[in-house]
Parts: sequence; C-alpha cells; structure tokens
Amino acid sequence: MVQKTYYLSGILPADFKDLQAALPEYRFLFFESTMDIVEKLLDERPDGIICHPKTHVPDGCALMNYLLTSKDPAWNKLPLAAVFHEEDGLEKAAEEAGADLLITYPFDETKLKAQFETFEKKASQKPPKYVNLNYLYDLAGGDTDFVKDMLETFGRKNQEQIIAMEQALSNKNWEELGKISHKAKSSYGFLGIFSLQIAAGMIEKFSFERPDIPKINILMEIIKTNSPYILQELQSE
Amino acid sequence: MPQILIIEDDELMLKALEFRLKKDGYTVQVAPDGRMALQLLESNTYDLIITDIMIPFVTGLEIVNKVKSDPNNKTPIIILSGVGLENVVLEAFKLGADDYITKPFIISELSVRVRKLLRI
Repeated sequence: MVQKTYYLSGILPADFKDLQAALPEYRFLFFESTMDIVEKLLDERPDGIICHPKTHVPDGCALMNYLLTSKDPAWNKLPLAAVFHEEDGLEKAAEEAGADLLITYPFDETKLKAQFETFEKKASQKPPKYVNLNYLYDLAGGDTDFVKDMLETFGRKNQEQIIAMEQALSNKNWEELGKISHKAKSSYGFLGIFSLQIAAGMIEKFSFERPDIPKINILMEIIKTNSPYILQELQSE
Repeated sequence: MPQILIIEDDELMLKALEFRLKKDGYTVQVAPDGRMALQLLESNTYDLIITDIMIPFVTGLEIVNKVKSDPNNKTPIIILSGVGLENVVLEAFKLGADDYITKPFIISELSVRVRKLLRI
C-alpha cells in the first residue's frame, strides 16, 4: 500500500512530532512556510495539505484560498486540514477558509486516525470567494467613498500591472519583474486577494532568486485567469 | 498639527496611508517617487517621513541616507516594507531609519508607531 504524503506548515516541532507519532502510516513533510509549500506544489502533488490558519505571511487561510480558487483540479481538489491549538479559537477562520478537516491540539489519537482515514475533499456548499475586503472595510471605518475609490483604483491598476509583468517576462527583465510583482503582492494582500498575493509573491521570489520561466508562466496564468472573477466579485461589493 | 510626508509609488498603498493618517488628524503630503520627494524635502519641513524602499528614480534607502546625513535634520523616518525585504530594512536601519512597518500595515500599529515617533 502506497504511503500517503501530506505537506505541512505552521506548527511547532513538538506538535509535528506528536502528529507523526500518532499517524505513523502517513508521511508528513514539514515546510518552513506556506510559500515553501506553494513552491513545492509547482513540482509535485501531495495527498493533502495541513497548515496552521494564521502563522506566516501569507498564512494558511491564504494558502487554502489559493488552492481552492485554482482552476487546476490537482490543486483545488486537494484535501485541506487546518491544525491549531484549541485555545487559538481558529475554528471559524479555518472553516471559512475552506478546511475539510480541523485538527485541534490536544487531539484524541483514535479519533484522529479515524478522521484521517476518511480525509478527503468535501463537496463544497458554495464556490470559494476570491476577495476578502474585511481589511479594507476596517481601514475605511464606514467611509464608502474611500472604499469605492480604492476598488476603482485597483481595477485600473491591476490590468496595467499584469501587462507590465508580461512585458518584463517577455524581455526576461527579471529585476523589473521582481519589482512589479513585489508591488502587486502588497496590493493583492491589501484587498484580501490571497490567491494573487501568493502567485505574485512566488513570481517575485523566482525573479530575484532564480528565474524559472515555466513556473513563472504557471503563476502568471493564475493571475490572468483569476482576475476576471476578482473584478466580478469587486463589482458586486 | 504634525506634517507627514509619505513617499510611495503604489497608488493603493499611498491612498490608504494618506486616508488613515488624515483620519488620525495629521497634515499629509505625498510623493509618488524619490525625485519628487527630494524636491518636497528641499522646500518643506516635516515632522515625520514614511517612505517605501522600492520607489522610482531615488530609492527609499537614498532618501534615508540623504535626510540622516544632514546633522540639522532630526526628522524621524519610518520605512515601509513588503514581506521578503528584511535585509533591505536592516540596511535602512544602519542608515538611520527609526522604525519600519510591513505592508499591508496593521492599522492600529501604524497609528501607534506614528504617535511614538511624533512624541504625542
């Protein structure tokens, strides 16, 4: 029987050890950050992802959104588990982010084993949201004109940024691509567009560290494919 | 009323900062690039400068260096940084930057850090 592999991030070494000891029949690969998981996913597909909802930037919730909004079934059908301590109070955040399984510490080993045996992608009740404007609304403090201005600005700038990124990629101008994607990453994070925040962050990393054209193309495709859905959602806000 | 200069080329971020700081009661001037920032710094006095690092023409680090090299200029500077530029932030501190905020900023954190540097 083939051992199932899960990518995992955001938990303490001691907690990771407990989890692996409780489930020795599964293989857990630990990653330092959610972005390390994103990078690995460009090469390989695990049997599932386990992440803490709120550690790292981008956090586990952002990672789950990135996968759920992907058009690639190899990603959007990956079972997702959120892992956290009971006192963190992150059940709601994890469920809203789309987690199929919640693992809370301290866990009951027998129950956890049973949950893992049936750990699979749940049939979703509703499609994932591409945008989370909580931060913007918080910042606006009720000023609807400000919110409207910001959304219109994004709508205009996003297309300009995508064109500029494509141009830089076409010219293999890695410094320029890195700079544009760095800026875009912050803008996407600002409007809770986590899928593109992650994609832009990954493009930035490749551009500044080691340009990988096929992978950058995959990430650019995510940005271009998701953008119309994002604009549609923003228009309905 | 304290006057703050924001130097940032990302329009969304610039608008967000300007909105927030004005809401907090400050007078705000903005510069979308380093060149305009230097022009404003030549002809105005500010109580605080908030600058991004990656900006056109003259970088945030060059702005920090220019301001902090002047012994008569005591204006505190906050660096704006996206995740992944930790080394550059360290560089800014070595040049004399007083604090930094990561983007997107935590609203309450921005207010607290600004008040702290303005000694309000």
